[in-house]
Amino acid sequence: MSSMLTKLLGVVLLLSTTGLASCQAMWVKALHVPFSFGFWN
Amino acid sequence: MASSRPSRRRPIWIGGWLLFLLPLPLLWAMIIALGKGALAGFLSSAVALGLLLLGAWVTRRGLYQAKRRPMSSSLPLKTIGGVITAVGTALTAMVAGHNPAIGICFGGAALLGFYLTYGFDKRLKLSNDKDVAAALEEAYRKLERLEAAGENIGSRDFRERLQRISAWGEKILDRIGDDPEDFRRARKFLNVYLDGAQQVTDKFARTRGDANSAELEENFRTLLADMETVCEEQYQHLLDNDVVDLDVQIEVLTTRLKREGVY
Repeated sequence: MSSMLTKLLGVVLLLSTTGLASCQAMWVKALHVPFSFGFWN
Repeated sequence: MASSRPSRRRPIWIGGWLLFLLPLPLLWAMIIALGKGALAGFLSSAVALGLLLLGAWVTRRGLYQAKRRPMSSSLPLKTIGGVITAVGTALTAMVAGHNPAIGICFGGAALLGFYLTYGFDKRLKLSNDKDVAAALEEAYRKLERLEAAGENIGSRDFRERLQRISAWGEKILDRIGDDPEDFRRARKFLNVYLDGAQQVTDKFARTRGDANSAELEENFRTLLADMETVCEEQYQHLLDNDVVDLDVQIEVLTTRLKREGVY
């Protein structure tokens, strides 16, 4: 059970780093405006 | 007794594919940059995408290697894949407009996420004990041969029993990989049991083609059941650090195998 939770945490971290950075890069290239996410920037 | 029966078929963890999916928005970023004639944007996106896909590919190779050749002396591909993914993530964050310090934070967090999801290569722990690593690698090969021998048997019941035996064997080898001190206590298992299991399976597959007797099948079924029990108990003894009982059981199984004409 704890092993699954660890993996789940790992996946969440990958989604919120690699996945988010990729989406931000696409956003910036598409709109030529800095990525704004409310609290994020 | 071990509490759960292992399944030979491991679930396909989404992470194997996850690393290929995560950088896909960069492909769209590349196309947009190309359409707008922004060469620098196109190239930076392309390099970031290339790094992340390379990291994903190396990781997949590493995951396969970790399953089949966990102690191999070849490159620690999983760890290398994690580092490439982290560097790719840091670069992607910078492509997205973050300053380098934030980019490095992205990379560090991605490396942590990678470690929690896939782990790094075990062999780093065993680098000082090459004998154990070589013996384990050979044992994993024996398991592969046992599975291959099982494929030649028509009976689904026998194939499933052999898959379960193989799964227990894999669990035991994984356990030794985690704690090489267990190797000494499992030496007989690795030397006698795995060879015996493979040979008796080969022999049955060959003999069965000649004479399809019910008695032969019954003997083989009983032997497989015994093997499964021994494997299960071997694993439990490893957990309990129990040496004596284990050796006695292996001796009993060796006698059985001799009676079957394997030794």
